[in-house]
Amino acid sequence: MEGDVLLKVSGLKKAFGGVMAVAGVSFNVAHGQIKSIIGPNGAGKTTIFNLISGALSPLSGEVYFQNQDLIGLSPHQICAMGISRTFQNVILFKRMTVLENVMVGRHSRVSSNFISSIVRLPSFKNTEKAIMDKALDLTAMVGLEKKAFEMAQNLPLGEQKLLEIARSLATDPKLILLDEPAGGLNTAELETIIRLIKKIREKGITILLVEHNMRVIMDVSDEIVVLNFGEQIASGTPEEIKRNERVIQAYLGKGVSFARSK
Amino acid sequence: MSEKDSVQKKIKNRNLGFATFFGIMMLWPILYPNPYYLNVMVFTGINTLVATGLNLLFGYAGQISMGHATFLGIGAYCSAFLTVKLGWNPWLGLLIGILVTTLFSFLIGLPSLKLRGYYLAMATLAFGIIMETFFIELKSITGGPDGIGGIPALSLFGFKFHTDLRYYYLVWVIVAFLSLLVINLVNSKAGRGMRALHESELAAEVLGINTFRYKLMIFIFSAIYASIGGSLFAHYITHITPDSFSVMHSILIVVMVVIGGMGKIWGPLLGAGIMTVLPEALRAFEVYHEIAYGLILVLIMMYFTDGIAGALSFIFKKISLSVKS
Repeated sequence: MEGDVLLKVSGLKKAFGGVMAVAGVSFNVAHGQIKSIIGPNGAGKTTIFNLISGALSPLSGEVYFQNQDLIGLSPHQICAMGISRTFQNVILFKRMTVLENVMVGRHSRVSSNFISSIVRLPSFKNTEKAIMDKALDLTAMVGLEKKAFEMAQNLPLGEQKLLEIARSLATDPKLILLDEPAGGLNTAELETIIRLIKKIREKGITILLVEHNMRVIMDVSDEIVVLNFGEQIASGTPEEIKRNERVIQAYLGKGVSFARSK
Repeated sequence: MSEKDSVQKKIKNRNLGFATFFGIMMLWPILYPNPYYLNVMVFTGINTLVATGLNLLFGYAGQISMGHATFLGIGAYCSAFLTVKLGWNPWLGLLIGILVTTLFSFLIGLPSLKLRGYYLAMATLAFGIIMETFFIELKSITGGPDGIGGIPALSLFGFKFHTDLRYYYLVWVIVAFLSLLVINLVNSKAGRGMRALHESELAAEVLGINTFRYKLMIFIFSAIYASIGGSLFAHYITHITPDSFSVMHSILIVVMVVIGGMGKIWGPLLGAGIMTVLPEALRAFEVYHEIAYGLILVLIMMYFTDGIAGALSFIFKKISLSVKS
């Protein structure tokens, strides 16, 4: 899929101690695309997300979003530019309600200060209402409207993942980084997530996806980048990746080919 | 949406609860004008104020300060020095106290709020120890170990707050007003932001919240509450000495917040109430009163992990459930 480049990652490197977690990864994400990063455990997928979102800083390499350099910015600045993310291990505000979680996601998009909340200026009420309305919409979009006032920690994992996505969407991202949205889900929940991912794309939001579930990857991806031990071993469309020798080796070992196993 | 209504009803109930409580506090001296009790209640009010500030920082935003008595001291010494030595208006002294506290808390917060957990506790503790030394050694301003005496009473349009009764009203009106501001703050964007960064700074950051700025603002805000408490304290007891603002007192404030219930609206009030009234009430035990005091605190910590506020709300829930069924 061709298009203008939204996110440009080049030569990205990150080491933890002596281990190269990400060893020079380069890829582009085009506007409106769903791009997936796959690879065996420890391949460096989540590290790449941490580098893009500013949670970690790289050893070297560049990350450009809409032609603006992201390296050195803090996560909240990167969010302000229009990148949002979810976490592999789901990090919710557990002791806040579902709705409050989504509302927090909306905070960065409304202006109001300490003083107006303390003395309850008229602008305060409007701001709160705007936050609440948007949060209710998004809660409904992921199908959690009936649980809006439940504590986030009381939701089952599948719904926690949906909530985390709704919370990310509340920041009005141009690009959303989804870290294993289907991890640990049952078949029914899997279908829900796939539908949601497609729905997010229909809203014009670009998606960068890390996922282990091939059913999801092959269904939604426009393009796939494959990593192994921090190195980029392949990239291309799902069809190309399925046939790629190095990818098959990385996943299944030598001497087995995808065609034969079919 | 009935749940939304129930949330609003909850807020309404809480506001009603507060109005009732402060109403009773206003009537109390009329029904029971014993100067000794009024005296204890004035200290309870001042402690409530300080604990309310720390509850925002520690209870809601999850950032501990082991040096909050310092800000109490800054407020008290500003008031004392400016009124006694320079003869300024006490209200101006209180205001300068707030400004100096803002400056100090900003300068201390800037490096130390980059730290987390135990390290933040250590940094603020060190700050408290250093400032305690300053309070003792900076004799030209603080009067050294002897402190500053002869602090004038506060007055408003010629009305002097020099009796226990009058001071009681002054303190509790201020407590009610400043508690109201905190309730507003907690039930707003800022309050949600605080609770969010308490639960996960990383998640709050990637959602666009400048967590450091938030922490700094709340640190300053809570220090100002302590400073106001310090000024009120100075004008009430009229003679201040450094030991009122020691590290031990900082720890006492933290204990008030924890015992009362961290991150609970009623927490500071209950915590300050227990910690101020209990030692007085236990005087009947004479030499054993400290043992009894310690024992009660340990029992509260063991059995009420959410503090007294948490335990009370649990009991209320049980009662209202059993009434309904």
